[in-house]
Amino acid sequence: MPSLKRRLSGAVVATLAVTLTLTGLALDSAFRASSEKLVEERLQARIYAVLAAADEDLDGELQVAEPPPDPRLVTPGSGLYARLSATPPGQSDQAIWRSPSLLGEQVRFPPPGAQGETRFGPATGTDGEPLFGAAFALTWELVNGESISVLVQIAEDRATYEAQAQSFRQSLLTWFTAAVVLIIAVQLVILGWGLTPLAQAAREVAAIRAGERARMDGDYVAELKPLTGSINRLIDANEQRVKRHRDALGNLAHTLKTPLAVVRSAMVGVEPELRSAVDEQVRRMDDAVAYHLKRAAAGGERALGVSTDVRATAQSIANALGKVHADKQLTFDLASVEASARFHGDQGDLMEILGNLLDNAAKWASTRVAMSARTTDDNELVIDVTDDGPGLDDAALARIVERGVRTDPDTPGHGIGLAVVHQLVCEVYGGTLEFGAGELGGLRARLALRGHPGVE
Amino acid sequence: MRLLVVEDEAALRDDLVRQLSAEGFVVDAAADGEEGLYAGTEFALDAAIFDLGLPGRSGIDVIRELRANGRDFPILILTARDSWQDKVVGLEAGADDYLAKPFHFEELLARVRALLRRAAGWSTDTLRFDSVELDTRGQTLKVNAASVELTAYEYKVIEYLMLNAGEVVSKATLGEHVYGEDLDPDSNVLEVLIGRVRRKLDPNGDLKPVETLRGRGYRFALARS
Repeated sequence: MPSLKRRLSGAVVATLAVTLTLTGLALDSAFRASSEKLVEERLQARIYAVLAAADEDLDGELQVAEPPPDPRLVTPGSGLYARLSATPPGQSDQAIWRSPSLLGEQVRFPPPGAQGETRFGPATGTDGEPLFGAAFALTWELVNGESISVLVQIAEDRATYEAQAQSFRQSLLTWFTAAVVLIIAVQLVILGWGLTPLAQAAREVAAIRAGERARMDGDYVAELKPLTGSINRLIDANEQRVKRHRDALGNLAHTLKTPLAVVRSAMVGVEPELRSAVDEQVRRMDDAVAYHLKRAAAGGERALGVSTDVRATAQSIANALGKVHADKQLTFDLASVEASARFHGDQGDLMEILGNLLDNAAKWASTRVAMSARTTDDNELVIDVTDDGPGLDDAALARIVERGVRTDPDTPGHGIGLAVVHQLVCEVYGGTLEFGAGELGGLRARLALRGHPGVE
Repeated sequence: MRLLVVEDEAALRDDLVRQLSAEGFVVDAAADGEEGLYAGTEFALDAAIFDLGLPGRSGIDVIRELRANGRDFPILILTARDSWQDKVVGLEAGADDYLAKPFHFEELLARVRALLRRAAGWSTDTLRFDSVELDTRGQTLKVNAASVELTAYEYKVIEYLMLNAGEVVSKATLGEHVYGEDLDPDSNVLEVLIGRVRRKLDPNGDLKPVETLRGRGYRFALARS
């Protein structure tokens, strides 16, 4: 798909080419027509000059006075030739005078037209080259009262005319080229200026996709406002939809879990065996409800991307956990969380992931929980959460990894936190989650999420 | 210690009130946000338990307003919406801990006690002063390493005075935290109770753990150990 700029530029260039070619042809043709007219007028003037130089001599013979009326008629091969002939009544055409320039030249003059009219037509030179020609036939009344038919023929080479035409074309080409360059340059500037709002819109859409901004709030031209308005409405509708969905799930959780809380609360003080049996069923229901609701609440990636500041989110969770685990006086070390690290999904999902991982680390840590987040060269977001707790031996590590992979909410004795993290990271966001030994001595959870695809 | 329970589900609220009272707390109950806000503002509370999914005014709103009004007793959130976003929002609004429904009452109790201790600056369940040791978990008292039997009210008085050690506690305040609103201000029940507590804490009469400040109230005078 060609770009809009290329399309418009192509159209401008094509229009210019056609328009200027036609204009050039028209100008060239007009120039030739007027030049030929000038040539004809000049030939006509020379015919009159030759006639003016012609007169009867004392013998009543027609003569052309020397020197001829134009110096070019004197020089042989000069390119200007003339001939005067007469046709006395009852006789054939007799040449009376040939210009000295015809010496050694074989020029074919155009034939005469009607009496009293100048006829313009092609003549040919010695080597068959085309010449401008004219013939003027008239009736000459001699002194003795006799009338003879006189023919003046003239021919001129095309060199001057061609040189002028060539020079005209040259200058036409020069000016047209300059005009084309100027017009294209101006058009490009106009195009660039005219397309600026589109470029701005494209940049804003890219920024929205990358999650750097939430809406298209630039000041757009009237033609684009319907588009940017629609995009904003789409974003809002998307937000609203996710929010409604989450609210509905929250209400459902409330509706389902409050009765479970009542059941559990009512079991305080009853016979231990019954209490334990009911408690186990309540736990199973609770885990299943929590797991499936959290799964359903996952926002996932969105076309008009939302992205979340990893550091700010981690900081609010760390502040919250600092309160919850206040007795342990934990240090949450977020210094290695790059300020530019962004999670390409919504904040609720990132909170669920980091909340579970950091809370798990805080439960096991003795003094310190550390988190790092960085964006790799492959545009992957890699987050590590570690603690200085006792960590896990190999067998336990294998179990937690296994459980992470199975994400089974029905495994007794464990919370569903890590299963939810696994679900979100691996299934919703297509990333990876690994557990291993951390450098602080405790467990290290490492998750890697692919970066935003960017704007194609 | 005086607690507020704000929970709209009547069955759960009644259970909580009953069970917490049985654990020696003076418990006020509220069924919605407005009532909770009133109780939180007006009563001399030591801690509050807030359900977040309240009808009308949300628990978060009420907690924010209480904090904005300078009420600084510890608050535990109970919530069925156990997303981290909700937890973080609740804790940022001013709550100190959260517990997801359905919870075990024992866990709720442990959290509330931990909040009360923490608010008084203790990081363990056992409050130690000189030769006196109060285990808030088992609700037992040891003096010179020997166990001392306590009635429920004696325990409440000792716990409250210890958690406010060094501070002057007026008779009215002590009465409210130990008996709720039910105590007749003119009765001498508290004086009698304080006398019994003094004898149990200091059988030999050389420690003088509870000072009487005439016209002002009482003060727990032992130093932490």
